[in-house]
Amino acid sequence: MKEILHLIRFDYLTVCGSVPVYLVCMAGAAAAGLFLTPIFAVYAVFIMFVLTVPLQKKTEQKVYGVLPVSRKNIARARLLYFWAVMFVTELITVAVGLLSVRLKLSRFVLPQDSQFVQMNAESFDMPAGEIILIGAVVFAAVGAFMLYMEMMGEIFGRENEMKILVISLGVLIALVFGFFALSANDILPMLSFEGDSTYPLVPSLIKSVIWNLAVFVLACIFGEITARVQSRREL
Amino acid sequence: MENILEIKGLCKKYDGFALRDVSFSLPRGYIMGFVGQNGSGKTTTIRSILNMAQKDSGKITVFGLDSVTDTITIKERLGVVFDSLYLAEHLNVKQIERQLKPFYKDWDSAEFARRIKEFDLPDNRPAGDFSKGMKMKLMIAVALSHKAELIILDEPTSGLDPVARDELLDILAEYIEDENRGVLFSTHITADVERIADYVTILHAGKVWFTGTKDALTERYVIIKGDAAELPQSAREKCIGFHNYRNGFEAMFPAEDAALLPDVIDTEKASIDEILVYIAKEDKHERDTASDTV
Amino acid sequence: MKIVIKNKSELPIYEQIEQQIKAQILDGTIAENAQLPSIRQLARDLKISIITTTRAYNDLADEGFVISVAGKGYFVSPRGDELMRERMLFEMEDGLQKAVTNGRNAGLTNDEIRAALEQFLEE
Repeated sequence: MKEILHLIRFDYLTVCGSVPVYLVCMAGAAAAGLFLTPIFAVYAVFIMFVLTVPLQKKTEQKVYGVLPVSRKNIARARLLYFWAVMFVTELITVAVGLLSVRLKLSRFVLPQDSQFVQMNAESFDMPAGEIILIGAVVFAAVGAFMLYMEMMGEIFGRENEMKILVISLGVLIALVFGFFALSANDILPMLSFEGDSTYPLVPSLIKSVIWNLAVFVLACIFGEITARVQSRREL
Repeated sequence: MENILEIKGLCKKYDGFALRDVSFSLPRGYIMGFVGQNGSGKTTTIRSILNMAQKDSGKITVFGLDSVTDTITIKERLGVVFDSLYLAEHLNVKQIERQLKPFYKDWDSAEFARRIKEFDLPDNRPAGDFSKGMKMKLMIAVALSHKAELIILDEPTSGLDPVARDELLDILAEYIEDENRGVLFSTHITADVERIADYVTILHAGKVWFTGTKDALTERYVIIKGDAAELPQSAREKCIGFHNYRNGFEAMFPAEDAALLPDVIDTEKASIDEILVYIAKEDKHERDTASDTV
Repeated sequence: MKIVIKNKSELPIYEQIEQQIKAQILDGTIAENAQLPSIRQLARDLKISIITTTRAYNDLADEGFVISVAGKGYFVSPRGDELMRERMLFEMEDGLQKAVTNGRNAGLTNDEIRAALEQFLEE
């Protein structure tokens, strides 16, 4: 366990040079979220990749042959690190969203009669629970995708990353279409997000925790799969 | 004498290349030069010691511990220098220390700082900007700072200028003054090994061609030159890498059979470099004549 | 103690060390009973193999120039030491022999050789 934490820190220190870039981008997303519409804060979801990309250089793999660590923990730590990045980014995003709704700073920036403000008026009325839940769901989806890509990249090699991406997206789109096709024909019940539009705070918070836990569990499972496959592989 | 490193019957097969029954051992307190042409299997052997490559068969022990089951314990006390930097290139010396420190129980920050200063390494520049010699010294500084008892160097001198190579020999000479340590030094630049190494292992085409003390190696072979017509058949058969030129022949010859040689044939000491060259010539000759004698 | 290793010399490194230490013991540069650098120290200073320095010291000990004291290191034998005297006698005879051979090769008579020796003795 201590070793995994050290390895997570190791990964963090490898990318820490990118932290300023990450913070600048986050500030941009936060500004957009605060001054335009809280929905914009969700763009931060793309910013978390800044803190994962530098880890994917093959040339530095040798370090794991030198360090006194178990091969399995390297993969486990890597996926948990990805989860941590996702989680931190999600926390910042949700905080920005909540602040944005409370402060309604866009009043001072945008003319109230502009089309943009009219269109987004609703988003400023979002209850806290909804913001928390949207954050959790969006980050869970993107986070799961990020973890999946990392696992596939580790297993099948970075050079095949584009192939993996294309095939994975194909499968995903097929699944979604299949799902909607089945739903439209009443074979499966249509997923409804409208169920409870009041989003009471506590249940939303619990749901959000469940989403995050689910992604955490996914990170552990993917980490374990990667570890199993990789431990039989050469460095 | 206790062996700090011991390899027994190591086999490892890749497409188009195989290590076959590699065995050698390095006693504690000495430096071993691990030489052979590029592609002879030095790096694969080292990767097997580090458990980065998975051996097909054989047993490797470091500090008396198994290289597979005890790899973590071994690496606590093992320093490694590769031909290129294994650390993140965009990090500076301080960041690299922060990264590595938690993994070693015996990490000594004061020693690391002292070495960085001694080696003249700037601590605020990315390691990727360092010269090849500086990168090599950085990897050595890391090894020395976690009190490594065995340092394995894989081709550390390829692409190094003579000054940096000399500095490396200084560092190794200082390191081995402590008799509890050991050094395995792979290189194809044998001049580095010629002076400082106590033991030499020559790897050729995935097999151990020689292993033993350096003196035993250099005393075992001589280079002979002369007119091929004056070379008796009995001696001709013992020649290694026999090569006939227009004005005479050159070959490597076992020193113990020197009695077979007539006086007109010149003999001189063989350097490790020459030994490697003649091994390669013999090999080429064998392949050309498709004979199966060794 | 001063040792210079010549890489390009035909003599093996251990012999170069032996010869130079012997010469310095014989001419008194290294005092009797003086401690020599340890095998590992010498190897480090000269940047040569430990086996080479071990061999040089062992040979010197075998020939009686130095004494190995377990746990302490190598010391120059006291000059009164029998072996040392014998060794010096041997070196002298060896030198004389060479001198005589060279003299004869140059076509000198026995008297001329003796005269030359006298001259050295008076110096």
